[in-house]
Amino acid sequence: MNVNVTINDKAEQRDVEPSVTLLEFVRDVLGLKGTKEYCHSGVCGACTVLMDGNAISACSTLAVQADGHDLLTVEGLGTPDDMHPIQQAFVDNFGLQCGYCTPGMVLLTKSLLDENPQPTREEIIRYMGSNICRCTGYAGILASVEAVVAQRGK
Amino acid sequence: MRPFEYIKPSTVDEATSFLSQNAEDSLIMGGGTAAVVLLHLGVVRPRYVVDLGGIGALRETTMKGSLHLGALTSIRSLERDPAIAADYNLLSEAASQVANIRVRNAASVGGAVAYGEPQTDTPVALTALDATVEIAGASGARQIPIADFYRGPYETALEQGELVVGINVPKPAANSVGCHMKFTIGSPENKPVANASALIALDPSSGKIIAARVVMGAVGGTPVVAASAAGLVGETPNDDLFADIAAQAANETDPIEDLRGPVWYKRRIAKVLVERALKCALQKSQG
Ligand SMILES: Cc1cc2nc3c(=O)[nH]c(=O)nc-3n(C[C@H](O)[C@H](O)[C@H](O)COP(=O)(O)OP(=O)(O)OC[C@H]3O[C@@H](n4cnc5c(N)ncnc54)[C@H](O)[C@@H]3O)c2cc1C
Ligand code: FES
Ligand code: FES
Repeated sequence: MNVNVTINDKAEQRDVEPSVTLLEFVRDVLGLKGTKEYCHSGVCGACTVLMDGNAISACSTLAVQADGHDLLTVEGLGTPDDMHPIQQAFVDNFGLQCGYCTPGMVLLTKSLLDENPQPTREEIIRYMGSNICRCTGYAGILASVEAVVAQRGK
Repeated sequence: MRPFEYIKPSTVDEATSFLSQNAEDSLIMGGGTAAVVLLHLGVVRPRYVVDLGGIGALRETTMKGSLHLGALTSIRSLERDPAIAADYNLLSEAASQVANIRVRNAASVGGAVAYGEPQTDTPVALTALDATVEIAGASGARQIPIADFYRGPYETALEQGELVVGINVPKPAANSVGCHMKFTIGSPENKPVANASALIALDPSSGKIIAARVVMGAVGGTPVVAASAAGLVGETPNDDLFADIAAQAANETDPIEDLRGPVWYKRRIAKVLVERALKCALQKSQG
């Protein structure tokens, strides 16, 4: 099946089997390895991508379901030399330890702030609780998100 | 994942006519949040996956006296639509407690209802609101009250080849206020140990309860409509009354023991949640 997407502002077209998940499409077909796999059941959020701006689990989506849509993965946010302010905030505020959840957390932060540019701490806690981090205990993640909010509020 | 053929109808008629020939070999897909995982695990091995995602008509939501939700309406839009939050607060409150943001963005209300999963929130609120399930099949369309739609765990009134095309929610009676309470073991999976939706209406002059509905989820194969809620009607709300009705309601449940806890525990949680949902509804209605 032909799948046409715009991913990280670039048009891509690939012919894939309908049984290919969006996670396999992003990682193995397009070679973008920032998106991670862990639970493969919609629970953890390691595979978070934004489709038309909305956070979804790539593991629980077929690539064909993304046909005609706009995708953002962590690679589209910034590069090591030119990080997005959200990525920089995670680095500055110890928002990560092992880093496995981080691409998902960074994208989840982007969708939160696009929806609600000045969230309260309570709103941040509820939203970021959508994804699992097994290392940080979330304190550094919340500090990272709050740092971006504070920066933007200026 | 095992290979399958991907079918993407663009109208309900196209979907039902395909299914009239191939229902047994087909898996219907709404948002795919459960369907794709079932395919991945090999729990289902269909020859065809019928993706409803191309049927634009199933995305329509209207509010004319009652709320009509096309089957593909996302759970997240139930949570975020200000008009739904205003008039159908119980529904948006329950929707906001489903799973995590990613699931709520992708899952559809039709999928949530059709799946028939016992550990579920939106169908519990929809049952409290007396919603109707709109069904289409090759032989025609029909409507069923949601309380009659559920037959057992993952078992519904859908016949082979039939689709849920929409949900109709009547506007709650004037002065009625609802709350949805849920207890989870605190992971982003967020499936309920138990939950409860309560809807009460107070007579503005006497302050007495004139209508009440209590529905509990995850404590039976289907949403449990508490018959004991009838004991609230005609009474002046107070804590003792709520505790008494909640205890009776918990006795009407039929939970199973699983990783979320043993039977006695789930009953006890259900009692507490019913009590809290009633208190919350009372508090809201007293502003
Ligand atoms: C990690 C996780 C946690 C969750 N936690 C909760 C929770 O706490 N509370 C809660 O309420 N829900 C929860 N859910 C959501 C729920 O379990 C289902 O995943 C969701 O409701 C299914 O909606 P969908 O549109 O994605 O359906 P799909 O996955 O596409 O389909 C689900 C089932 O319904 C059938 N189906 C779908 N649409 C239709 C239709 N229109 N007509 C006929 N049949 C149809 C499919 O064939 C399939 O059997 C959770 C899901 C996940 C993955
Ligand atoms: S890998 Fe997709 S949600 Fe965990
Ligand atoms: S940093 Fe290791 S899981 Fe989050």
